[in-house]
Amino acid sequence: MSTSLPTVLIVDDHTDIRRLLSITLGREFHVIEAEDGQSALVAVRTHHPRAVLLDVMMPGQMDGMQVLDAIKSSPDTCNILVAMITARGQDADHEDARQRGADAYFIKPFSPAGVAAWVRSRLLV
Amino acid sequence: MKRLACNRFSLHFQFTVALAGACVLGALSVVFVIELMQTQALTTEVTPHLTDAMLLTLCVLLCLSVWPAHLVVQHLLAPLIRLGQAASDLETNAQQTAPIPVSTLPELVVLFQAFNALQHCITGLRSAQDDVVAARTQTLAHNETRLNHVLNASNEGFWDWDWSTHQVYVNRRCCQLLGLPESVLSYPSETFIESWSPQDQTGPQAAILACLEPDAPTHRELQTHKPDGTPIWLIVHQSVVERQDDGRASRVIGCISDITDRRLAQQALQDRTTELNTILDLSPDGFVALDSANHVRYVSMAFTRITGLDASLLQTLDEADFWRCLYHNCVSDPQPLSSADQGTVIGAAPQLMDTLCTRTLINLTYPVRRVVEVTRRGSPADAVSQILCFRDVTHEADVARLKTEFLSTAAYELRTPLASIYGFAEILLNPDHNDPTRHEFVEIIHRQSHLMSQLLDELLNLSSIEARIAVDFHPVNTPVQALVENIVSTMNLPPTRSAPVISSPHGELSMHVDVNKARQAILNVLSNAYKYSSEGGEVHIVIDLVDAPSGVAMVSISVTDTGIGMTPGQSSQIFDRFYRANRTSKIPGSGLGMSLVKEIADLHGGNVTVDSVPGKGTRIALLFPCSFVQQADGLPAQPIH
Repeated sequence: MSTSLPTVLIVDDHTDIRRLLSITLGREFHVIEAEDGQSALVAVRTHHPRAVLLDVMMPGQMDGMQVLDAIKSSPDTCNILVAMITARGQDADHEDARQRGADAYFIKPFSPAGVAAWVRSRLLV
Repeated sequence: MKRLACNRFSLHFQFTVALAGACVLGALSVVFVIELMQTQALTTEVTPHLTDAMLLTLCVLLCLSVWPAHLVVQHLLAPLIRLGQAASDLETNAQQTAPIPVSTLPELVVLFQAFNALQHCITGLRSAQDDVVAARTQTLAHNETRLNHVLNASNEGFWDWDWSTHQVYVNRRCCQLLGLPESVLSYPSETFIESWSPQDQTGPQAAILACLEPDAPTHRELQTHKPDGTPIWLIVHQSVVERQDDGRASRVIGCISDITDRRLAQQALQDRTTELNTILDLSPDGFVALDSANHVRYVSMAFTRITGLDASLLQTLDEADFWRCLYHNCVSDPQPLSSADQGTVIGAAPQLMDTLCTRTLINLTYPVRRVVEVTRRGSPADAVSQILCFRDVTHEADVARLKTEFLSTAAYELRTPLASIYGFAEILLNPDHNDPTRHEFVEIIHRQSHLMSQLLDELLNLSSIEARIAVDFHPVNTPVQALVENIVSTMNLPPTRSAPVISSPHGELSMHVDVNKARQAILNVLSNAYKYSSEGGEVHIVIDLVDAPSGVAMVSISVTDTGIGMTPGQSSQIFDRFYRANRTSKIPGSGLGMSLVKEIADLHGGNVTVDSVPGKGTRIALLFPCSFVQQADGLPAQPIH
């Protein structure tokens, strides 16, 4: 489905979190979802989103950090904005994500309006 | 000179006259006899008379000739006798004597004058010698007095024993220490040995006698008793100054001292050292003491136990070498501990040595992995400048790490439902959403709130199990089947699911459990069986009697479902806190249920076993201690010991 709205990929294993972000961003962006790391990478290569809201701890073979590494290490996807959304709130985790190339770091519980404002500021300005 | 000449003339004159008279008389007598013999006129009768007359005449002549000789000899010998007497007096009389009168004989004048000069000289020398002797005698008396004062002040006993002459000198302190009467001071040679008891083989006297033997030690410490029975320690020092041909001592000088205070102090010190060593050996903490030169002086057994380093390897090493040895033998790849561990972690020995002023942690690799806390404390003692304390905090570090991980995981698990609650509540503040959407959001909030509440309850239960074991644990003998049936009847089964099938092949069993905790464990297992099995699947409960590896009879409550099952990897993690085999499923859960089951089983001395096949189902068996067995054929119940 083609759309003129910027595409935002939401990656989280919790359905309610995906629903929450989708409701929040759905009016301004084209939102697609993935529930694990591997499907997230497939979606990135398939839909070329402008931004990815990425959970860190996910089941499966790839967690959020590995997905981040894959996105930022590929020339085709390294320009995609990646915001980590995680329950891991320690400074070391934040610093680790920043060094890997994350553009933003949101700690659960987060404000949906705050996330939307960040995405809006980076994609619509 | 004139008088001397007159005396010489008188002597010569008298001698000449006497000699001339004797010669004349002798000559006349000889002439008369010759005449008589020539004339032969004498008759035989007359001849004997003549002979007698001649003999008489010869005697008279002889007497007349001896008398002058006697006079001469007497005149010559009198001065010499007087000179000899004076010489004898000079030899025996120490006092100053007057010069003897000079003889009138010219031949003896020089001799007398020389004798007088010699006598004067000898008298002078003797006087000077007497002065020296007097001065030295005074000095000797002074020194002797001083020596006696020193001997008395030294509080030590002395003796000088000449074995060959039995001359013994002892001072008063010596008598006191040897337990001898002070009468030996007056008659030491007679009473010194006699006062000894020959039966005393261990006393100081025996020690003194033992020192007389060849190659005997020069000193000996011994214990004896005072007259009142108080024990006393003495040390005897002896020096053999003279020996007999066979090597035995013939003269010995020695001293004896009371070292009771020193021995008592030594004994107290030894007792204290033994006490401290016992405490240090019993202490789980290892100690290393450094002397004033920063060399290793003491290594406790606990340090060897912690590090595996023998004390003999470390003795006398300086501090830098000590740390190098520790790191070389016990740290294969020095790495800082995780951030979960508090304190400073140093990766190399030199830095550690420099910065070791507060609590420092070392990660030891050999002989086993340990986390060791090192503290340094200065010592005011001269012999020990620093004490290093090594405490094995591996358990504390593990607990701290697990606690941090647990809190981190718990926070993560709580943040996820909280994110939904927070986010959807924020969205609900926007009035743009229609009622169905708002209702959907409220449902999500309600569901996540329930999940969060359930999570908190299980966290609290887990915490209660861990922290309140002694307070909240009341095991009683409980009929197993009745308890299981009660749990099944009260649990909220899914509407479309049938109740579990309960079987008990061993008849009625009783187990020794805390009912509330056992109920919670069985309920958790049952809940999982229904959550992770399909709608038509049955759940079976089998109550059985099994033997544990320890030989104790256990009640087995096994719950079997026909659900999704687990892989071996998933089964191995089922008791980890917050672990969920399939997070992506829609089945709600906290991941704490089976952790709680495991804690409860362990608390009872029981166990939990898992047997699962993916796609076919899972069997969870709870093992609790058995207390009674009701025989299936109706025989009386038998207690289980």
